[in-house]
Amino acid sequence: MHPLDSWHKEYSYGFREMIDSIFILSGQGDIIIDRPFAQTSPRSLAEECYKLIKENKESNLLKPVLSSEQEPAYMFHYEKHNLIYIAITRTEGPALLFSKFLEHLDLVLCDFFGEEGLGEKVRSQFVYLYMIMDELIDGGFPNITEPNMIKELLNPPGPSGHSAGTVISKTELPPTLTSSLYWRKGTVLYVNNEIFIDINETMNAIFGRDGVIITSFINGEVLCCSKLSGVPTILLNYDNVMVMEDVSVHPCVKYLEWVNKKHVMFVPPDGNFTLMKYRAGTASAAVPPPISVRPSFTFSKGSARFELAIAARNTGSKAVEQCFIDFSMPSTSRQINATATQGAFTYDSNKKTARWTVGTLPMQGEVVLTGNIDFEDRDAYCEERPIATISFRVPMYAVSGLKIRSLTLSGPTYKMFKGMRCLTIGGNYEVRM
Amino acid sequence: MAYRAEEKDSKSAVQITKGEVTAIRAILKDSEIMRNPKQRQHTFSRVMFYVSQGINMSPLFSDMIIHAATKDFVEKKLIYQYLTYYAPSNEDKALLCINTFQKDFQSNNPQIRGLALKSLSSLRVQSLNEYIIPCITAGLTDMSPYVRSVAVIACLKTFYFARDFFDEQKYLEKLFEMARDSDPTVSGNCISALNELLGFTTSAPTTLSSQHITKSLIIYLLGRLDSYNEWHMQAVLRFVKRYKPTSEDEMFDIMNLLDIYFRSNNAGLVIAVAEIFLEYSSTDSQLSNAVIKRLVDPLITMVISGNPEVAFVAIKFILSFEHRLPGSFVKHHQVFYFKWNDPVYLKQAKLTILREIVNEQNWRPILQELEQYSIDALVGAQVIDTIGFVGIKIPDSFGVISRIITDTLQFEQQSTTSAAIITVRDILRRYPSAYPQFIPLIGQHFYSFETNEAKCALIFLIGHFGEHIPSSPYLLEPFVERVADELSEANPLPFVDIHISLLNATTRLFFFRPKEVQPLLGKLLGDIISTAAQGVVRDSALVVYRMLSQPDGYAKTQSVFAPDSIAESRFQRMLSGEEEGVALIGASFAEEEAGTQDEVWREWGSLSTVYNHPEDYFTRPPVLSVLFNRQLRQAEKEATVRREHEERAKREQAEKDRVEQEELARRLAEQALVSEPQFLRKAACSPQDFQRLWKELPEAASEELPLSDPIDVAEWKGKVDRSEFTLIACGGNAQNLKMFIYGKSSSADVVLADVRGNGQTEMLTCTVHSKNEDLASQFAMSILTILTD
Repeated sequence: MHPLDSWHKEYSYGFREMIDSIFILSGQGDIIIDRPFAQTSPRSLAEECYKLIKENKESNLLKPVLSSEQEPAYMFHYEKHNLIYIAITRTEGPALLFSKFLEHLDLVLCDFFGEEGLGEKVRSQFVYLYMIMDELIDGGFPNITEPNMIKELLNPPGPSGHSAGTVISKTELPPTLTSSLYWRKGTVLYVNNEIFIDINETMNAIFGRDGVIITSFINGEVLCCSKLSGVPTILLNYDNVMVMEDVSVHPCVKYLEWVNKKHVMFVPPDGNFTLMKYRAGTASAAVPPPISVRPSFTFSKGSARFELAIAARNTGSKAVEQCFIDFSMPSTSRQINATATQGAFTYDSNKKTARWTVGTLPMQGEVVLTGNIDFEDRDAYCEERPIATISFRVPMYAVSGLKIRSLTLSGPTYKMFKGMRCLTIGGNYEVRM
Repeated sequence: MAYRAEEKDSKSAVQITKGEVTAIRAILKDSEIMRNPKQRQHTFSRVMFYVSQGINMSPLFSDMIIHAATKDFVEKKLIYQYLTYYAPSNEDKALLCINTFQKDFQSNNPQIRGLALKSLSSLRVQSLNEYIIPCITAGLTDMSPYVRSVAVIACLKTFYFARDFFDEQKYLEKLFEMARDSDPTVSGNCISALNELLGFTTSAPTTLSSQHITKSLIIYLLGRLDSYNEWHMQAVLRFVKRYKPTSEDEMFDIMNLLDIYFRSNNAGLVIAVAEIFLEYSSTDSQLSNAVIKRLVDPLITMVISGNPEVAFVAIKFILSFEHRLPGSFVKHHQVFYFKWNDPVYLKQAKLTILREIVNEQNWRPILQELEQYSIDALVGAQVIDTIGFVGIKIPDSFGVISRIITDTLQFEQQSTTSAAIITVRDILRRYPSAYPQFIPLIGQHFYSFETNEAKCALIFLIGHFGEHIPSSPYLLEPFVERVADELSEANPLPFVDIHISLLNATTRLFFFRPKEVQPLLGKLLGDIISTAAQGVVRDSALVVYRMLSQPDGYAKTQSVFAPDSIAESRFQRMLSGEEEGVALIGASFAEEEAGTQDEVWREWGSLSTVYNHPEDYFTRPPVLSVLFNRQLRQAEKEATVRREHEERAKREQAEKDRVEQEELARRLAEQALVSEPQFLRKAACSPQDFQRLWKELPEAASEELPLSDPIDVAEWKGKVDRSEFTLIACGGNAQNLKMFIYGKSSSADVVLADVRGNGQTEMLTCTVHSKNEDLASQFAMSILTILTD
């Protein structure tokens, strides 16, 4: 028996409001860290959870909250970056908080180690993992959660730290750890003071077989990168602010200012952060899609013909770049041949997926892909239809029509350099053929 | 990773461990190696790595203690981590590390003080409490907020491992004081700890809470709410929820303060605010409806946020709103359309929402959309099921639905086509007059289904709407052909449903297409009666057979099996075991849910909403029996897989009905057996003949029965008159009654009875004269039954 299991039996108690245990597993199911809080959970719970995740990987049937067969425990799980995060709770609690915390844990780790190859880094540097977890959560309650602050407390490994394997310790407590502007370091000094604001909008849409839009919405984010000295206050004004629906803001934004005057006043954290998130294009007038589609699909015995024509529309004379279309083909397809008026078409017969790489769309006219699917059964009529997902980027263009009118600094007396950009990308831009 | 255990099975893990533990111990003892800082750290992290692999490193405890007094912060963390992990299993040695911890607690560096305190409070060794508690108490007044915030959580830990000290040191009061700490992290941790302590409903803390959770504290906390980080905000909000405002103005003040937090980045925070609003508005339905309306937007954002986990939870919340205030999300049906790569659980959740929000205005687009999903291999069946629900809710949609179903039936996907035929049956059960739209599609195809339910549904449709299907007898034929084979299988139980449906359908169809169906029905009855073992199928067949073989059997049977109205008779439904089926279709367990929904609503925002069960149903203190585990699993299964839930209940209901119906059929069959060849109705006999026969025939039977009620001469006379026997003479009074009764069996045997009722001895005697003794005793029993019934 694991030493903590006996303790668990002896000291078991009922009403926790927070997480009992957190496990982080590698994608292969090895437990990288087993972090019990006031009450320990047997490792077998994590193993059970992993088993369920693995069994249901293909079918995608698993719910985000599982209940254990072994004991009255609930397992929240979250999988990202080839890591599996599991939180165990035994009692009633705030459901979303658990899920969100796991998400946040991943975010903090990404921020700390860098997103690239996170799974491997976490495994090879699990000493850091222990230290991060130690600060992030205490006794099962979220403690110091701001990624900036964690970095302050513990020096992240540099590129060389990876191989050296030695963790450089830091014993000075950052002075602003517990200031009321907890998101901002106090003593920041830059030679060049800069601030960059990016409006990133993800256009999601579903088109029917007739090429008519069925549903669409835009997820927008205003990202900010601030490299400003001192404690600056920024005032941001938008044109046609009305397009933003259901806005949520970073804690640094003075919320009442936003609600009453519709301008954004904030003391930025140092570095990168998400200033605002919003939704657009669901409530009032639908936003015209930046790419129009014309699909067609016809069955015949043992085969099918498909055609997909796309064209750039309504992009305010901005070019649609890096356009490619992923197809999820019927599972019974044997062979697929297609020709395109622009770009290349490749088909992966194992995964039954295909990609049409278009590149930059022409400003005028449409590009067309025509192809033929042969099915495994030469006599059958296929019931499945392909699904096409269009990925694209339209730089310097926000599809919702949101624009920044002004960005001003108050407080410190230096001049700041302002950079502002927009970007529209295709999120789930789905065409049912 | 260099020192990763390659072998995963337990045996080799033990072997590795033994070797590794010795090897690491050797390294820990080797002062040469341990002088190299890089090597030291490497060794300690290696130990921790094995700990995280689940290998017991406890034997190294004393070796690790030796190195505890290190200056290096990272090493400290690793070693302390190790010590707290294994202290309970090394209680005797744990005392040795106390000194190091205490020394660290005096350090100038707050981070080290905090670490020492964190480790001390996690040792969980009862005998060391006297050293630990003073440190925690000192920590509460430390200069550094970092240390204070650790100490606050440490207080909470003492509540569990040293309750005496917790009470003695008045930690609870101290926590309430420290909730006003100038530092938000300290205050936030205080609130988190208090939330937990107050949630611990057993003893003193609950009484204390009402004194301490004061208006001023609540206003204070809300006033500085934006200084907390988002997680602590949630804790504060849950704390605020405990406070009961004393007046309406106060309530609105709090709500005004909170209003702006509805729009947070953090979905959990939005829900936490909503919880308070709903709690406060629980008595005011208008207000609570306003709150729901406020939540529509944030919840929709969560659904389309692209994170399926969050979307799933949000949909569960939306579902609870739809039960509470139907129609809130009707306009937003597009939000719940499938993305092709949505996980299955999300698709299922979306279907349940679409089913709830469909109405007269939006059914067209929703059906159009649902049609697209019907080819989905994994959720196709549920999609069809949902389409059926739409149909039952909105009869106008039959035209569209029948087209979708017709298309669906062409698929090769068994689960989908099965669901389609079941859906047609359900709709026609509810709206039999809608048959013109659905029935044509039955005749078009020759279907073969794998599941019993689908087969039964098809048979039902052929039987009940067979007069509108030209080929109906020929559709039933293959099913009838198989009956004999199925019955002679080792276990014919799985076919019971089918056989009952078949019997029902064929009998009914017989009255509409007598010529074509007659041989079919004959074969079916013959096969069942001759082959089937005792049981419901055979009994039902016998009932049909006997009904038909009665003199006016045709008309009688017709009135039961094929009444004029198109609806099924109650009897038929019972035979097919689906009496409750129709009620179930639209209502989906309405009555069962009504109670729990209210409870779930009270616990809104928590896991209850996700599981759609009240908290009690799935949380109990963890010292629980196996029984509870089972219950818990049951609860989980029922709540999360609604569809399964319904099906199971349907099955259970069918099972129950089957038992009932078995009884009914058996009773019917028994009655049929008894009365079939027996007595002619009101056979004529003169008193003289009776007297003569009485003397001629020997006494064949005599029965006695105690009387429970006093004798009522007129009533008894009436009872005999109404029976199939002939009353020859009757005389006497309530004290002493005499009756002579005559009966004649179908085989022309006569029976004569002399019945005497004695009011004083309260006995009823019946003496029967006859040649046939069996008949006589039966006759006696019949008479006694008639009289005393």
